[in-house]
Amino acid sequence: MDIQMKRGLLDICVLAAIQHEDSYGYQIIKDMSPYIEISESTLYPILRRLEAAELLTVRAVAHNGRLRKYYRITAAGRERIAAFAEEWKEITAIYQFVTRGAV
Amino acid sequence: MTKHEYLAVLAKGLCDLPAGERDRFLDYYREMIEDRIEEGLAEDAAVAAIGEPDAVLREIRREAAPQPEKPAAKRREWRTWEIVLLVLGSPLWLSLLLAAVAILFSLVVAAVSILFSLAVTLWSLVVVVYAVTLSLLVCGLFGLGYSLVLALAGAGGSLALLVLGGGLFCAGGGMLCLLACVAATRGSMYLCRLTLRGLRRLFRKRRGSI
Repeated sequence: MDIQMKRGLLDICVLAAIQHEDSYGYQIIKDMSPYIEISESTLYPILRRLEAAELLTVRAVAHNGRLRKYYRITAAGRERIAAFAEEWKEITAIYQFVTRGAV
Repeated sequence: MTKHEYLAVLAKGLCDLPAGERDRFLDYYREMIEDRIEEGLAEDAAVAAIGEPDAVLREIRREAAPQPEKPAAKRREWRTWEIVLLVLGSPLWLSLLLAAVAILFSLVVAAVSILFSLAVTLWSLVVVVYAVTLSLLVCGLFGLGYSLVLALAGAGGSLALLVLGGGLFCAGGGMLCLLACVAATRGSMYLCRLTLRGLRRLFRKRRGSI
């Protein structure tokens, strides 16, 4: 997949991975892995970027005697997902146009 | 490789990063390793799953190069309802604001007047010390002179002696008090200078912080 396209999709997928319940790094990677490949070192800057953009918040939760960081989506994060779904309709139309007659 | 060894390699490779930034990275990778161990992987397998430290470091470098730019605190637009609320609420918040300003002002005035009265009290005490000294010295001189007059006039020797003693006593006390005068003046000047300096620093700091 094109790198730029994948970058954009990864952001959305990380938001999607926490949209139903708060999640932590490893769980996010596991949840995404059937759909899109992501490594720990790729996830980290995405989380930082989304946090800086206030699309998610971070809190440390005690777990088995250590701290685990949980990520929670914000209202702005949900809006971002909704905007992506809207955009995708346009992309589908473009796809139709591009592949017209090719099949 | 154990978790500790792995994290130590990462820490060494990131030693030029700011401490806060580095600790966030280490916390993140520690959590990743521990979550895998908790899921049932052996420690070395969990560490291996994260990838070679060199590769991870390279990845971190590549991503860290363009700092995750914090969106410069963008100016919020005023919403219509906020403006309406602001205008409608003006009788309330304006008067509250005025009251707050008035209270602040009176506090400042009170503080200044307390400082001023303290300074006046201090200096009047100094003046008292001077007055006592002066009177003691005058009494001493007078006593000495008078005892001389009495002795020459041939009055009772005991009276002259008494006046002489009193005069000497006063003169001695006066000289001692002279020392006290010097000390009191110096001390007061020092205190005043200290206070002024403190006030100046206070104002300068406040101006600097605005």
